Amino acid sequence: MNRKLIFIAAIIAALFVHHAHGRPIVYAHSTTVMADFSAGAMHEAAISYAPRHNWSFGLGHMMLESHTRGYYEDFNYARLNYLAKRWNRAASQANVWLWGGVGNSNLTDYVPETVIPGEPIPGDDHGHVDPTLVPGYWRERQAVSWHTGGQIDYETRRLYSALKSEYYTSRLFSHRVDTVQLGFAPYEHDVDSLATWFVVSGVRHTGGSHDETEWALLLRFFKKRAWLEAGSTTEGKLRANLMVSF
Amino acid sequence: MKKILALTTIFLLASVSARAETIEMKVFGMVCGFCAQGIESNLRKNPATAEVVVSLENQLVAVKTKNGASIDDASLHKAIKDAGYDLKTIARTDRTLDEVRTEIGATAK
Repeated sequence: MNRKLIFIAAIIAALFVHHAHGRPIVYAHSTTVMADFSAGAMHEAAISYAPRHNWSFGLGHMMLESHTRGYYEDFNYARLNYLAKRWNRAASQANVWLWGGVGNSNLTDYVPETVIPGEPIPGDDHGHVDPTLVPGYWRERQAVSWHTGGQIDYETRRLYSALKSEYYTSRLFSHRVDTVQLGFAPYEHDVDSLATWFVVSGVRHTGGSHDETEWALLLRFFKKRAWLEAGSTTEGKLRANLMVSF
Repeated sequence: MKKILALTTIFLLASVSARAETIEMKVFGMVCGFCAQGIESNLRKNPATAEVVVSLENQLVAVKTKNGASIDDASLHKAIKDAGYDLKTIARTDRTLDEVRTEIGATAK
Protein backbone atom coordinates (compact mmCIF):
# COMPACT_ATOMS: atom_id res chain seq x y z
CA MET A 1 0.00 0.00 0.00
CA ASN A 2 2.82 2.37 1.01
CA ARG A 3 4.72 1.57 -2.18
CA LYS A 4 1.64 2.34 -4.21
CA LEU A 5 1.20 5.70 -2.48
CA ILE A 6 4.88 6.59 -2.95
CA PHE A 7 4.65 5.64 -6.62
CA ILE A 8 1.55 7.75 -7.20
CA ALA A 9 3.05 10.72 -5.30
CA ALA A 10 6.25 10.45 -7.31
CA ILE A 11 4.41 10.36 -10.63
CA ILE A 12 2.29 13.36 -9.67
CA ALA A 13 5.41 15.27 -8.58
CA ALA A 14 7.12 14.39 -11.83
CA LEU A 15 4.20 15.67 -13.84
CA PHE A 16 4.12 19.02 -12.15
CA VAL A 17 7.75 19.78 -11.62
CA HIS A 18 10.07 19.01 -14.30
CA HIS A 19 15.53 16.83 -14.14
CA ALA A 20 17.57 16.13 -11.33
CA HIS A 21 21.12 16.51 -10.21
CA GLY A 22 20.91 13.30 -8.29
CA ARG A 23 22.04 9.89 -9.36
CA PRO A 24 20.64 8.26 -12.47
CA ILE A 25 20.96 4.79 -10.86
CA VAL A 26 20.37 4.10 -7.21
CA TYR A 27 20.58 0.28 -7.02
CA ALA A 28 19.68 -2.83 -9.04
CA HIS A 29 15.97 -3.40 -9.63
CA SER A 30 15.09 0.08 -8.43
CA THR A 31 12.86 2.64 -10.09
CA THR A 32 13.76 6.29 -9.61
CA VAL A 33 11.63 9.31 -10.31
CA MET A 34 13.49 12.60 -10.55
CA ALA A 35 12.08 16.07 -11.00
CA ASP A 36 13.86 19.40 -11.23
CA PHE A 37 12.58 22.91 -11.35
CA SER A 38 14.70 25.96 -12.06
CA ALA A 39 12.55 29.06 -12.37
CA GLY A 40 12.94 30.91 -15.63
CA ALA A 41 15.50 28.47 -17.00
CA MET A 42 14.80 24.75 -16.98
CA HIS A 43 12.25 22.15 -15.91
CA GLU A 44 12.79 18.44 -16.20
CA ALA A 45 11.16 15.19 -15.10
CA ALA A 46 12.49 11.69 -15.63
CA ILE A 47 11.70 8.16 -14.61
CA SER A 48 14.26 5.37 -14.83
CA TYR A 49 14.54 1.67 -14.03
CA ALA A 50 17.85 -0.03 -13.18
CA PRO A 51 18.02 -3.73 -14.09
CA ARG A 52 21.54 -3.78 -12.65
CA HIS A 53 23.53 -1.57 -10.31
CA ASN A 54 25.53 -0.07 -13.18
CA TRP A 55 22.97 0.83 -15.81
CA SER A 56 19.43 2.06 -16.15
CA PHE A 57 17.04 3.23 -18.82
CA GLY A 58 14.37 5.79 -18.63
CA LEU A 59 12.07 8.36 -20.14
CA GLY A 60 12.06 12.07 -19.54
CA HIS A 61 10.82 15.47 -20.51
CA MET A 62 12.81 18.68 -20.35
CA MET A 63 11.94 22.26 -21.14
CA LEU A 64 14.39 25.14 -21.46
CA GLU A 65 13.10 28.67 -21.62
CA SER A 66 14.53 32.12 -22.14
CA HIS A 67 14.17 34.85 -19.52
CA THR A 68 11.87 36.77 -21.86
CA ARG A 69 9.48 33.80 -22.12
CA GLY A 70 9.66 34.23 -25.85
CA TYR A 71 11.67 31.06 -26.59
CA TYR A 72 11.09 27.45 -25.45
CA GLU A 73 12.91 24.21 -26.20
CA ASP A 74 11.00 21.04 -25.29
CA PHE A 75 12.50 17.55 -25.33
CA ASN A 76 10.83 14.19 -24.88
CA TYR A 77 13.52 11.56 -24.67
CA ALA A 78 14.50 7.97 -23.97
CA ARG A 79 17.82 7.69 -22.16
CA LEU A 80 20.43 5.10 -21.17
CA ASN A 81 22.46 5.78 -18.00
CA TYR A 82 25.71 3.97 -17.29
CA LEU A 83 27.89 3.86 -14.21
CA ALA A 84 31.29 3.68 -15.92
CA LYS A 85 33.37 3.47 -12.78
CA ARG A 86 32.86 3.46 -9.03
CA TRP A 87 35.43 3.62 -6.28
CA ASN A 88 34.13 2.39 -2.94
CA ARG A 89 36.32 3.22 0.04
CA ALA A 90 35.70 2.78 3.77
CA ALA A 91 34.42 6.32 4.21
CA SER A 92 34.04 7.68 0.70
CA GLN A 93 32.70 6.95 -2.75
CA ALA A 94 33.55 8.35 -6.19
CA ASN A 95 31.73 7.74 -9.47
CA VAL A 96 31.92 8.34 -13.19
CA TRP A 97 28.51 8.38 -14.92
CA LEU A 98 27.71 8.56 -18.62
CA TRP A 99 24.37 8.85 -20.38
CA GLY A 100 22.90 9.42 -23.79
CA GLY A 101 19.52 9.52 -25.40
CA VAL A 102 17.33 10.32 -28.34
CA GLY A 103 13.92 11.88 -28.68
CA ASN A 104 11.87 14.54 -30.31
CA SER A 105 12.29 18.23 -29.67
CA ASN A 106 9.94 21.10 -30.11
CA LEU A 107 11.18 24.65 -30.56
CA THR A 108 8.68 27.43 -29.95
CA ASP A 109 9.83 31.00 -30.40
CA TYR A 110 8.24 34.40 -30.74
CA VAL A 111 9.04 36.19 -34.00
CA PRO A 112 8.70 40.01 -34.10
CA GLU A 113 6.62 41.23 -37.07
CA THR A 114 8.68 44.24 -37.97
CA VAL A 115 12.35 44.60 -37.34
CA ILE A 116 14.18 47.70 -38.46
CA PRO A 117 17.77 46.79 -39.33
CA GLY A 118 20.21 48.40 -36.92
CA GLU A 119 17.48 49.40 -34.43
CA PRO A 120 17.39 47.68 -31.01
CA ILE A 121 14.34 45.43 -30.48
CA PRO A 122 12.42 46.25 -27.27
CA GLY A 123 12.52 43.38 -24.77
CA ASP A 124 15.32 41.58 -26.60
CA ASP A 125 17.46 39.23 -24.48
CA HIS A 126 20.19 37.33 -26.35
CA GLY A 127 18.05 37.32 -29.49
CA HIS A 128 14.89 36.23 -27.67
CA VAL A 129 12.09 38.76 -27.76
CA ASP A 130 9.65 39.52 -24.96
CA PRO A 131 6.21 38.76 -26.49
CA THR A 132 4.50 41.32 -24.24
CA LEU A 133 6.54 44.22 -25.69
CA VAL A 134 6.74 43.59 -29.42
CA PRO A 135 4.03 42.67 -31.94
CA GLY A 136 4.73 39.37 -33.56
CA TYR A 137 3.68 35.74 -33.86
CA TRP A 138 4.55 32.37 -32.33
CA ARG A 139 6.42 29.83 -34.46
CA GLU A 140 6.66 26.13 -33.70
CA ARG A 141 9.14 23.67 -35.20
CA GLN A 142 9.96 20.02 -34.51
CA ALA A 143 13.04 17.86 -35.00
CA VAL A 144 14.72 14.72 -33.78
CA SER A 145 17.12 15.54 -30.97
CA TRP A 146 20.07 13.81 -29.36
CA HIS A 147 21.69 14.33 -26.05
CA THR A 148 24.68 13.05 -24.14
CA GLY A 149 26.19 13.79 -20.78
CA GLY A 150 28.51 12.75 -18.01
CA GLN A 151 29.12 13.31 -14.33
CA ILE A 152 31.98 12.73 -11.91
CA ASP A 153 31.33 12.92 -8.21
CA TYR A 154 33.06 12.31 -4.90
CA GLU A 155 31.44 12.18 -1.52
CA THR A 156 31.97 11.38 2.12
CA ARG A 157 29.36 11.72 4.84
CA ARG A 158 30.33 15.36 5.27
CA LEU A 159 31.46 16.52 1.82
CA TYR A 160 29.94 16.24 -1.62
CA SER A 161 31.31 17.41 -4.97
CA ALA A 162 30.09 16.84 -8.49
CA LEU A 163 30.82 18.04 -12.00
CA LYS A 164 28.27 17.42 -14.71
CA SER A 165 28.07 18.31 -18.38
CA GLU A 166 25.17 17.71 -20.77
CA TYR A 167 24.79 18.48 -24.45
CA TYR A 168 21.51 18.61 -26.38
CA THR A 169 21.39 18.95 -30.13
CA SER A 170 18.99 18.89 -33.07
CA ARG A 171 18.86 20.57 -36.50
CA LEU A 172 17.07 23.48 -34.81
CA PHE A 173 19.37 24.21 -31.88
CA SER A 174 22.12 23.01 -29.58
CA HIS A 175 22.33 23.58 -25.89
CA ARG A 176 24.96 22.75 -23.31
CA VAL A 177 24.48 22.69 -19.55
CA ASP A 178 27.53 22.46 -17.25
CA THR A 179 26.95 22.04 -13.53
CA VAL A 180 29.26 22.16 -10.53
CA GLN A 181 28.04 21.31 -7.05
CA LEU A 182 29.82 21.50 -3.72
CA GLY A 183 28.08 20.34 -0.58
CA PHE A 184 28.74 20.30 3.16
CA ALA A 185 26.82 18.39 5.83
CA PRO A 186 26.74 19.96 9.30
CA TYR A 187 26.48 16.47 10.86
CA GLU A 188 26.97 12.87 9.73
CA HIS A 189 23.67 11.17 8.99
CA ASP A 190 22.97 7.44 9.09
CA VAL A 191 20.46 5.26 7.22
CA ASP A 192 17.54 5.98 9.51
CA SER A 193 18.18 9.64 10.19
CA LEU A 194 17.45 12.74 8.21
CA ALA A 195 20.43 13.95 6.16
CA THR A 196 20.90 17.69 5.82
CA TRP A 197 23.28 19.31 3.36
CA PHE A 198 24.16 22.82 2.29
CA VAL A 199 24.93 22.83 -1.41
CA VAL A 200 26.39 25.55 -3.63
CA SER A 201 25.42 24.96 -7.23
CA GLY A 202 26.66 26.68 -10.36
CA VAL A 203 24.97 26.06 -13.71
CA ARG A 204 26.36 27.34 -16.99
CA HIS A 205 23.95 27.38 -19.93
CA THR A 206 25.43 27.79 -23.40
CA GLY A 207 23.42 27.87 -26.60
CA GLY A 208 19.77 28.11 -27.58
CA SER A 209 17.59 29.41 -24.79
CA HIS A 210 20.14 31.51 -22.92
CA ASP A 211 23.83 32.01 -22.36
CA GLU A 212 24.68 32.58 -18.72
CA THR A 213 25.95 31.19 -15.42
CA GLU A 214 23.53 30.84 -12.56
CA TRP A 215 24.62 30.28 -8.94
CA ALA A 216 22.33 28.96 -6.25
CA LEU A 217 22.43 28.01 -2.59
CA LEU A 218 20.42 24.89 -1.88
CA LEU A 219 19.32 22.96 1.17
CA ARG A 220 19.30 19.22 0.57
CA PHE A 221 17.38 16.75 2.73
CA PHE A 222 17.02 13.05 2.34
CA LYS A 223 15.73 10.21 4.44
CA LYS A 224 15.12 6.61 3.47
CA ARG A 225 13.95 6.72 -0.17
CA ALA A 226 13.04 10.36 -0.54
CA TRP A 227 15.29 13.26 -1.52
CA LEU A 228 14.41 16.94 -1.63
CA GLU A 229 16.61 19.86 -2.58
CA ALA A 230 15.42 23.44 -2.67
CA GLY A 231 16.90 26.87 -2.63
CA SER A 232 17.35 30.11 -4.43
CA THR A 233 19.58 31.49 -7.13
CA THR A 234 21.56 34.69 -6.56
CA GLU A 235 18.80 36.39 -8.52
CA GLY A 236 16.16 35.13 -6.09
CA LYS A 237 14.70 32.49 -8.39
CA LEU A 238 13.46 29.18 -7.01
CA ARG A 239 15.41 25.96 -7.60
CA ALA A 240 13.96 22.65 -6.47
CA ASN A 241 14.76 19.03 -7.00
CA LEU A 242 12.89 15.92 -5.94
CA MET A 243 13.91 12.28 -6.17
CA VAL A 244 12.15 9.16 -4.96
CA SER A 245 13.36 5.58 -5.39
CA PHE A 246 11.36 2.43 -4.85
CA MET B 1 17.01 -44.44 30.36
CA LYS B 2 19.00 -44.73 27.14
CA LYS B 3 15.94 -43.72 25.18
CA ILE B 4 15.47 -40.59 27.28
CA LEU B 5 19.14 -39.62 26.83
CA ALA B 6 18.95 -40.11 23.09
CA LEU B 7 15.79 -38.06 22.79
CA THR B 8 17.27 -35.28 24.94
CA THR B 9 20.41 -35.24 22.77
CA ILE B 10 18.35 -35.05 19.56
CA PHE B 11 16.22 -32.28 21.02
CA LEU B 12 19.31 -30.27 22.08
CA LEU B 13 21.00 -30.71 18.71
CA ALA B 14 17.82 -29.70 16.90
CA SER B 15 17.42 -26.56 19.01
CA VAL B 16 21.05 -25.59 18.38
CA SER B 17 20.76 -26.08 14.60
CA ALA B 18 17.44 -24.18 14.49
CA ARG B 19 18.95 -21.06 16.07
CA ALA B 20 18.95 -17.85 14.13
CA GLU B 21 22.28 -16.75 12.76
CA THR B 22 23.73 -13.25 12.75
CA ILE B 23 25.86 -12.31 9.77
CA GLU B 24 28.03 -9.21 10.17
CA MET B 25 29.52 -7.70 7.02
CA LYS B 26 32.02 -4.94 6.49
CA VAL B 27 30.91 -2.93 3.47
CA PHE B 28 32.82 -0.12 1.75
CA GLY B 29 31.31 2.89 0.00
CA MET B 30 28.33 3.50 2.26
CA VAL B 31 28.27 7.25 2.63
CA CYS B 32 24.73 8.08 1.59
CA GLY B 33 21.64 6.82 3.39
CA PHE B 34 19.45 7.37 0.34
CA CYS B 35 21.62 5.10 -1.82
CA ALA B 36 22.21 2.52 0.94
CA GLN B 37 18.49 1.69 0.98
CA GLY B 38 19.26 -0.82 -1.76
CA ILE B 39 21.28 -2.98 0.65
CA GLU B 40 18.38 -3.51 3.00
CA SER B 41 15.98 -3.93 0.12
CA ASN B 42 18.12 -6.60 -1.58
CA LEU B 43 18.82 -8.53 1.62
CA ARG B 44 15.16 -8.53 2.63
CA LYS B 45 14.30 -10.24 -0.65
CA ASN B 46 16.14 -13.33 0.60
CA PRO B 47 13.60 -15.65 2.26
CA ALA B 48 16.14 -16.53 4.99
CA THR B 49 16.39 -12.91 6.16
CA ALA B 50 14.58 -11.97 9.36
CA GLU B 51 16.06 -8.52 10.09
CA VAL B 52 18.67 -6.18 8.68
CA VAL B 53 20.71 -3.44 10.37
CA VAL B 54 22.80 -1.00 8.33
CA SER B 55 25.27 1.44 9.86
CA LEU B 56 27.08 3.97 7.69
CA GLU B 57 29.13 5.06 10.71
CA ASN B 58 30.54 1.55 11.26
CA GLN B 59 30.51 0.45 7.59
CA LEU B 60 28.47 -2.45 8.90
CA VAL B 61 25.60 -4.48 7.53
CA ALA B 62 24.19 -7.08 9.91
CA VAL B 63 21.59 -9.68 9.01
CA LYS B 64 19.64 -11.89 11.36
CA THR B 65 18.45 -15.04 9.64
CA LYS B 66 15.25 -16.89 10.36
CA ASN B 67 15.46 -19.87 12.70
CA GLY B 68 17.36 -22.69 11.06
CA ALA B 69 17.98 -20.69 7.88
CA SER B 70 21.23 -19.41 6.48
CA ILE B 71 22.46 -17.26 3.60
CA ASP B 72 25.49 -18.35 1.67
CA ASP B 73 28.43 -16.04 0.94
CA ALA B 74 27.65 -15.84 -2.79
CA SER B 75 24.13 -14.53 -2.11
CA LEU B 76 25.50 -11.97 0.34
CA HIS B 77 28.09 -10.79 -2.21
CA LYS B 78 25.39 -10.48 -4.88
CA ALA B 79 23.04 -8.50 -2.64
CA ILE B 80 25.75 -5.99 -1.72
CA LYS B 81 27.11 -5.74 -5.28
CA ASP B 82 23.63 -5.18 -6.72
CA ALA B 83 23.24 -2.31 -4.29
CA GLY B 84 26.45 -0.81 -5.69
CA TYR B 85 28.83 -1.46 -2.80
CA ASP B 86 31.92 -3.57 -2.04
CA LEU B 87 31.65 -6.39 0.49
CA LYS B 88 34.97 -6.69 2.34
CA THR B 89 34.43 -9.25 5.11
CA ILE B 90 31.75 -11.66 6.33
CA ALA B 91 31.59 -12.84 9.94
CA ARG B 92 28.99 -15.28 11.27
CA THR B 93 28.56 -14.61 14.94
CA ASP B 94 26.54 -15.71 17.95
CA ARG B 95 25.62 -12.16 18.85
CA THR B 96 21.99 -11.14 18.68
CA LEU B 97 21.01 -8.24 16.44
CA ASP B 98 20.09 -6.28 19.57
CA GLU B 99 23.66 -6.69 20.82
CA VAL B 100 24.92 -5.43 17.46
CA ARG B 101 22.55 -2.47 17.65
CA THR B 102 23.68 -1.66 21.18
CA GLU B 103 27.34 -1.72 20.13
CA ILE B 104 26.84 0.57 17.16
CA GLY B 105 24.28 2.74 18.89
CA ALA B 106 21.56 2.10 16.34
CA THR B 107 17.93 2.40 17.28
CA ALA B 108 15.91 -0.81 17.41
CA LYS B 109 13.22 -1.24 14.79
